Amino acid sequence: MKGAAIGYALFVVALAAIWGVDQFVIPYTDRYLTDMLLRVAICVISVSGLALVLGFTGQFSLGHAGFMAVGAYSSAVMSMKFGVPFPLAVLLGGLFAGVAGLAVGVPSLRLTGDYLAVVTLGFNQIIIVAVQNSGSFVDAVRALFGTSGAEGKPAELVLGSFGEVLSRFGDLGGAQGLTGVPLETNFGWAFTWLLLALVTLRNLLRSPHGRTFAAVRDNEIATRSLGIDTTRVKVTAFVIGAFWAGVAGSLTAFKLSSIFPNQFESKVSIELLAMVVLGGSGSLSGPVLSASLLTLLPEFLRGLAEYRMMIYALLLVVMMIVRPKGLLGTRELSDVILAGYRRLFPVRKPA
Amino acid sequence: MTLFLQQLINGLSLGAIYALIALGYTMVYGTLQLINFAHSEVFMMGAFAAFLFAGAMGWGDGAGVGAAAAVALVAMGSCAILGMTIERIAYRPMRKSTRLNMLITAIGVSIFLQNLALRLWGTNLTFPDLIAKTNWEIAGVNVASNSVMVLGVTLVLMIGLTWLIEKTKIGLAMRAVSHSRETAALMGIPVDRTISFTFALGSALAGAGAFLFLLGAPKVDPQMGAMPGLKAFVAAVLGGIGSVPGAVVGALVLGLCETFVSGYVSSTWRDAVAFCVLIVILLYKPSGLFGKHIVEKV
Amino acid sequence: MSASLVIANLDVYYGQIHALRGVSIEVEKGRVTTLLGANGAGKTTLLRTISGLLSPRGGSIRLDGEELVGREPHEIVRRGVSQSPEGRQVFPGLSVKENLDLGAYTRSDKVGIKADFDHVLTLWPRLGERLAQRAGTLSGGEQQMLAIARAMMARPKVLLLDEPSLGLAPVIVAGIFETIKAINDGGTTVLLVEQNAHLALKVAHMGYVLETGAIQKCAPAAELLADPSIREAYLGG
Repeated sequence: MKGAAIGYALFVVALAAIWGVDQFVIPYTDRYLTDMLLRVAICVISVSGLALVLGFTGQFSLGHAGFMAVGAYSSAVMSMKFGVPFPLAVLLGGLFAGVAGLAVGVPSLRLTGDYLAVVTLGFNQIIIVAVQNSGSFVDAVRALFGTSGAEGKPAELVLGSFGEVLSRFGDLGGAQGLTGVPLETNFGWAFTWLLLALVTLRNLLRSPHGRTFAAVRDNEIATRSLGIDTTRVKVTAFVIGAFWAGVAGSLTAFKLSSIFPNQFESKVSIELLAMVVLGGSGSLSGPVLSASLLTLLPEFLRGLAEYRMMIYALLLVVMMIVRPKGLLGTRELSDVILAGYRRLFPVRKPA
Repeated sequence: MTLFLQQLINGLSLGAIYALIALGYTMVYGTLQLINFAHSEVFMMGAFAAFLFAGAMGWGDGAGVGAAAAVALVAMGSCAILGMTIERIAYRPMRKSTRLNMLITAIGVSIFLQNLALRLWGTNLTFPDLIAKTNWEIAGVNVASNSVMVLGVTLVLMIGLTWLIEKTKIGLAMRAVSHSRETAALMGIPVDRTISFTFALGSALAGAGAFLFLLGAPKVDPQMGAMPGLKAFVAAVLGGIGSVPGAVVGALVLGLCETFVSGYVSSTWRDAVAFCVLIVILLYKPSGLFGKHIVEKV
Repeated sequence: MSASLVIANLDVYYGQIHALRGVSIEVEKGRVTTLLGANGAGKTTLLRTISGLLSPRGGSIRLDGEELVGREPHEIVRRGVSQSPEGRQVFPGLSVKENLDLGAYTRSDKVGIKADFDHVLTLWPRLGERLAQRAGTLSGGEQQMLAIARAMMARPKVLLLDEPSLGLAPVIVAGIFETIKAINDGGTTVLLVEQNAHLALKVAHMGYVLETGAIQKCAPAAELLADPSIREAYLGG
């Protein structure tokens, strides 16, 4: 009980600190620095979700950016076309992405690793293509359902309203982008969502459920023989991962004000994947660390900006050959710090 | 009817190019169980090799069949060397690693090559029309000389490949290695060398595919490999990844589907065809048309 | 054309696990030597190490005085050591003939290969009837015959056999062991790894017993057959 109480207290303190910083420190901070912090926060939220799917449950998901796109576009539409307030819009974005995760996950999770990678990649591409062609989708809907008018038979009205909803939903701006999203993402909200993500994921992983994830990753057949429904476990992880990707995508939309389909290309999914692997699949703090570092890295490599992707790729290949377990492997940052501490201050046993 | 026949020829032509690329994917997967993500960049590099060589030799529009043949051979050779190098440097050290790690390495190589090309040569370059293009009227159907060339060259290469795989010692070794690397080693087959050869062969075919691709779409760009590569991969999966005839059949089917959708439905959905096919296949018959059922050993 | 195989102080590890501890075996020229042991004793590990699939941490393997350790697997086959591996491992999608052709992969003497091919078909006429058939469709016993025939196609100086009796009916096994005797009579040195101690000791000249990675006993086969402790452990009392 005591542990839980401390946990709650810490959470409240952290929240207070976040909003304190938001109100009192951020207004005086360099805009550029703030922007960087926001980008790091959003990236870490997305990567954490992927860490759950990839690192802990061992599923090759190459379509994470696709879920971000679902979150981004749905939350933007919710806010702009249906007047939903920002915090709720972000949550809805995550939920829509979660549903998408369910839709993709359920049929595909019985495929082996390589095939899942390809399906998720394909899904990512389909989302992009769908958004790019949203214009023709809207036209088709309008032609099919008509739009709602005050007069007309009840059936027409229903279909008309449904058509109206769909076309409002589908008006995603195509390849030219969706503009005019209100600029709502600030330090406070970004870091609040980040805190929520990290806390819930960490608690999930420490719970009995958490063990199951790793068990499925390490030896699915053995886990299944223990009577655990591994498909349900995998789908759950997938949906949760997609949810957080959706949240990250939503925050992105409200930060950039304009979103374009090619911001969520498979290239981005691959970058996210790289962050998880480099940080250590099997760890949560590892990917958090690598995501932060890799988001900040281009800033420090300004001069090498053009070579950024090449360096990235080389880093990836070299790491895979030399240190395939990533920075932290399956350990958490707390373990590493603790180990370091113990080495500095060894506990001496009584004679 | 003539439209249909024209689309048919276009579809087969497109499918032929996909087949040349798909074979590389399927042969490597059959041997190493690796999806060689870098293969699409080998294709791209083949196009660049063709472009650079033609430029170096001063060959421009109308340089003739001889020049074209030389360029094609250089493209194939360069790809073979690149493919073998990638295998040696990036994949061989990873042999004992997990599938995910190998996949990531492949992705890393792919990104690296794309950006390298971008750095070195930039984008949006145009490949010269080495062979003058004409159109022929056969039975009332408009047939482009391009399509004939693509289909002809691909057919010749397919025959050559089949002979190599079925009738030669090295082909037998390749087939043995794709069954089991260990057992092949027990036969005295030099496994590493055989795998290198497999990569060289698949890459050379991609190089040929790149040359033929340029005949119809003469834009040379570091990103040009991504889409054709992904589609060729889908074709390989459709046919049953690991199966050589499967890759060819899958590619032709995909080429036809894409052309017909583009022609009769809408060209904007063209790219989505491949992915829809992929999803359908993976959900209903992941082993593909000719593939063996994948059984997980406990 | 046979040779002697001398294994001295072989140490093999699987990661941290010490699978073979200081194993020393002498496979006499022209004889059948058998290695007995329960499941997991390390018998297959030993054969895989001889064939170069595993690297020992210490010790040596000499074929007629020449060191095999450190050589690539295909080199070792070239030098005259071929194996019929555990579980047969025929190439299922390839025909019987192609499997046999693969056995002779390292050879280039067309005349010799043809002669061996004919000889192998005399030993196993059933294979001759099924040359065009896919190896995966053969019965267990036929696959075992194919595996041994395939190894023979290399015209080896030393033939390694890994558990040829595994999973086969007694009648079939008896036939296989008769062929093994015939192969040895033809002059090939044989190292036979088996769980079926009775049959193995009947056909062998010399026997070794391997237990959890170490050699426990080494004696002429006849002695081992009569040994009460061996009787109890491996011959069912």
